[in-house]
Amino acid sequence: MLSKLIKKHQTAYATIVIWLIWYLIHLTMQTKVVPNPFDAISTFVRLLSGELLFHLGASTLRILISIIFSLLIGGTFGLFLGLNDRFDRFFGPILYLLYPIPKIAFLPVFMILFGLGNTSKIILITVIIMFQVLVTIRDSVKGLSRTMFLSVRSTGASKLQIYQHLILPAILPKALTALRLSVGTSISVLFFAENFATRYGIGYFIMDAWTRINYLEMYAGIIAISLLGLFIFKSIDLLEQWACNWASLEKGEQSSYFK
Amino acid sequence: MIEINKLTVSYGSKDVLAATDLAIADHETIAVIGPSGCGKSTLLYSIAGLIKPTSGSIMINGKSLLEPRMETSVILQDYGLLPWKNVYQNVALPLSIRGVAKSVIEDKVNALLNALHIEEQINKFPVQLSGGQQQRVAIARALIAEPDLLLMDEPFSALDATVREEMQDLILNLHQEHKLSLVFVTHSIEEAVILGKRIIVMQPNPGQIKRIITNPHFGDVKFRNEFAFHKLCVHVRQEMEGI
Repeated sequence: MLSKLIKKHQTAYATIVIWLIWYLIHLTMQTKVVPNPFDAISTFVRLLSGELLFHLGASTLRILISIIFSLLIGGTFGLFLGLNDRFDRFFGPILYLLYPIPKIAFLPVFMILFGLGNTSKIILITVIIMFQVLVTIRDSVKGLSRTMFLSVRSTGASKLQIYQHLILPAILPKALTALRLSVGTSISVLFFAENFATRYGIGYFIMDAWTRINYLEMYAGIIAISLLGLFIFKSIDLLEQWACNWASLEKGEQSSYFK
Repeated sequence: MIEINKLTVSYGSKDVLAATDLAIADHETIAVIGPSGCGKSTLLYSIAGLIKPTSGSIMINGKSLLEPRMETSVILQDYGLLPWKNVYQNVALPLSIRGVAKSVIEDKVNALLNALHIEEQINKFPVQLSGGQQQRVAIARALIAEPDLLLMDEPFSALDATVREEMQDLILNLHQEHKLSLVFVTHSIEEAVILGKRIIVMQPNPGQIKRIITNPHFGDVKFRNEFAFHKLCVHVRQEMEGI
């Protein structure tokens, strides 16, 4: 009964649990650094009609543009390397050397090369998500079964039709998983990057509130950034349900085998 | 009519299939059997136009085979169904790839699903089907384009014995009904004897035809329980043991 209710209202359930814990910490610690969650929320709601919405919008835009670019670039290169073993032999090792580097270390370089404004921040986030998408798509293309390729080819399908019926539907759920994994990281990195040379963005808003020792506003900013993440995750979920309902069938199968 | 002339397929310096000759008549069924590495799948894929020969040629109905033919259908070992398409979409694929009108596709798919008794699975995805049902979907997809040649690579190897016999009977019926030629690769001697008008025994290093056995009892429905069936099985087995 309870688990059914939780399954139906996952986000509401998580929100209540976190508020409760937050409230308990607030009660026990009695410090200004952990304000009453209800005050924080009312501050959030009050600020949302004004400047907070502006900062939230700036951050959301930066993330969304980065997601689109990284899907385009990472997707194209991932497909290319996955389908062309000869090129992968040259690029694969290079990719593995670059992949684990924390890309945030290059923020100063990007800022010098591409300016202090939005461009350098968007490029930084794009590079982070792009690597994840690239490696995932390349591996999932390589993992496609030979018989599936041969079956589709034997029907006389053109190259374009093989992409349409076989390759793109096969990699879409994997690409969305890669996005889900990398978006979390990219939000943290965006937060960091927004502390440099900008006056817009949720990262700037939070750190600015902090330096002004306005903890209520700082928490309002934290609520905003968590909602930003939630919005992106839920959008990915919706996209997955809409385009890859077959994949969730397979997932369901696996968890029932485990029981 | 399929004419295979001095067909050679090599990977590197190794001949997977060496200078193979074979003629297959219209409406004939050919079983190809042999140990692994004998080139039986390579022979099948070559006839499908999926592998380019290193040398030699394949002529089908007087035309040289250079790419997959519209009139050839292929059923592969694990069926090659697309997990993201439901039964209807999987069966319709060969026609939608050819740009056939939606209403025509719909009629044909429904008729075929009814004939194969899988009409109730129409909206299900492959993962929701049993092995036998997946097999029927693969057969439906192969028949939808009304082929004159059906190629199968160990199509029944994942099925249990009863479903397997059911499928063999189904294929025999379809072969009679649709007047198509059938070439299939199998590991099972019994299956080769049931479904093959001629049984081709192949041997490896390099892959080539060792013997062609003609099956005088082909097409007899009760054949499975007769002495002649077992005699022929023993004959094929002896040929294979000699490799």
